[in-house]
Amino acid sequence: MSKHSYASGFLALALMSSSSAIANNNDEDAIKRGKYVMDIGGCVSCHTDKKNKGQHLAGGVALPTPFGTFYTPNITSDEKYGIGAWTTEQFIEAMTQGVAPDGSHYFPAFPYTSYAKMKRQDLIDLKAYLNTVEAVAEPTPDHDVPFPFNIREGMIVWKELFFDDSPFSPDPSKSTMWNRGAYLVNGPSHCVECHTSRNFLGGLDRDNLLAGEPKSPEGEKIPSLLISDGSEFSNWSHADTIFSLQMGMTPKGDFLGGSMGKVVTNTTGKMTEEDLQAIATYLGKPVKKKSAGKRD
Amino acid sequence: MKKKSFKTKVLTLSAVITVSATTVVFAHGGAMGVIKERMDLMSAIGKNMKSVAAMVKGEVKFDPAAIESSAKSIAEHSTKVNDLFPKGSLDKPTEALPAIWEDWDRFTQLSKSLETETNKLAEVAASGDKRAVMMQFAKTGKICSTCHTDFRLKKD
Ligand code: HEC
Ligand code: HEC
Repeated sequence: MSKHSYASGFLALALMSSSSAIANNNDEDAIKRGKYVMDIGGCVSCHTDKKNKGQHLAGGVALPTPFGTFYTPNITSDEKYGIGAWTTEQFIEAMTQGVAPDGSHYFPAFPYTSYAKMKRQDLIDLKAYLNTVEAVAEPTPDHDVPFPFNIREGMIVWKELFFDDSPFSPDPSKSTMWNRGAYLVNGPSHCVECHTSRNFLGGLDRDNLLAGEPKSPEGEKIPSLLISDGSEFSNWSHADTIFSLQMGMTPKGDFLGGSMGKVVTNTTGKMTEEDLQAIATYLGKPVKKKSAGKRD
Repeated sequence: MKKKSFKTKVLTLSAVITVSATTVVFAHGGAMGVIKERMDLMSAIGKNMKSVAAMVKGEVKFDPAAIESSAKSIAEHSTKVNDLFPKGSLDKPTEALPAIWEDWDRFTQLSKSLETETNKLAEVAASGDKRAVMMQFAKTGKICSTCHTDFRLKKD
């Protein structure tokens, strides 16, 4: 067995990541696929209040931003407090346009700026899964955001400036794997949202995507994921990248924590081996060709 | 304790040398006192995890005796964790969060679990069961991750 597949086998075994479901329109399959979409989208990180032992996807997690503190909504199937009453079309509109069923605009603390890149089928499956999530009849706190940022209409202007709602378009000159990685990083898994600096209005610095952010609103240092800027990450191998996304362990023996700890637990740690390989490939760490002599 | 064969001893010794010879530099420049002590302690834990990981990943030869000794070393280090976090010790360049003392019970539970799970890792390593070692290694890693997620924040 090659070193690589040996390590992968271990990871799959130890962490029991789910295997990718085959597209099928059967309800059961859609729900299963939707559950995986929830994992790659990292919904749990922000919509389950683990710290206060909140229920699955019932919201209430505080998200500090320079503009005030946002509280994530309840996205369970509850018809009053959750999103159970929404149609699939309303859900897709919220995810890809940042517009709620009542026509109001979301603040970009909700990363619809990335979710806009999500495939329609993934969103349909995700809604099918969310419909099965146990209803929690619990309201969430109002956002604590002072004037003028509390004006949702202001978001119309913001969107005009910073929101690109074009769907994901694969680069035909790159491999299927690279494109899958590009889709995950810029779309559902929204890695770009944290690993990129923002301007004073909270828009992503699109010219420096993934170049890191020295100080997030929570005071957290977020490393660069570029391999061209001499970052720590530039020295990581393909296998190092996969291992750390799956286990949280860096090549130095440290463990990723802070907000990335949640990403590892809820998102990358639940990804299939193929999806992690795709991310590593997109981040400039392609799978090494197996060298004949080096075997276990 | 069971007497080890000469070969095992040599292997363990060489593993220890390899570990200490690998220069792993964690960014904790300028730390002093208890902050420096706990960073050093954590770095030592990290080095041991790194050497076990190399075997789990198949980068170096699987050596149960070396894993056993790394695991025991982490278990021993973990008993010192709580004392190195006196209330309010947040001097620069610490990455520790005040939440540690707001939720001291959970913090100490995690350092205790680290001891328990690494002692188990030493046991399964001694048994030589590779698969069991991998599972137990993953379990140990979850504890590191959980504590770093809830109680540590990377700063400049
Ligand atoms: C919620 C914000 C957030 C999101 C979303 C996020 N990251 Fe991170 N990431 C961080 C932080 C903070 C760190 C530093 C954590 C630490 O060192 O303890 C980090 C560290 C990393 C590292 C380690 C790099 C290094 O040099 O140490 C990698 C690799 C990484 N992230 C990849 C990803 C990928 C891939 C995604 C998308 C699947 C992602 N991140 C999404 C916040 C985030
Ligand atoms: C009980 C909580 C806890 C557990 C369990 C824990 N850590 Fe830590 N670790 C911390 C805290 C808190 C810090 C930050 C210390 C500081 O900056 O003052 C840290 C820092 C570190 C550092 C960086 C040290 C430096 O030089 O800055 C490494 C490496 C590390 N831990 C490795 C590990 C590994 C590996 C494990 C699991 C085997 C682990 N830790 C388990 C709480 C924990």
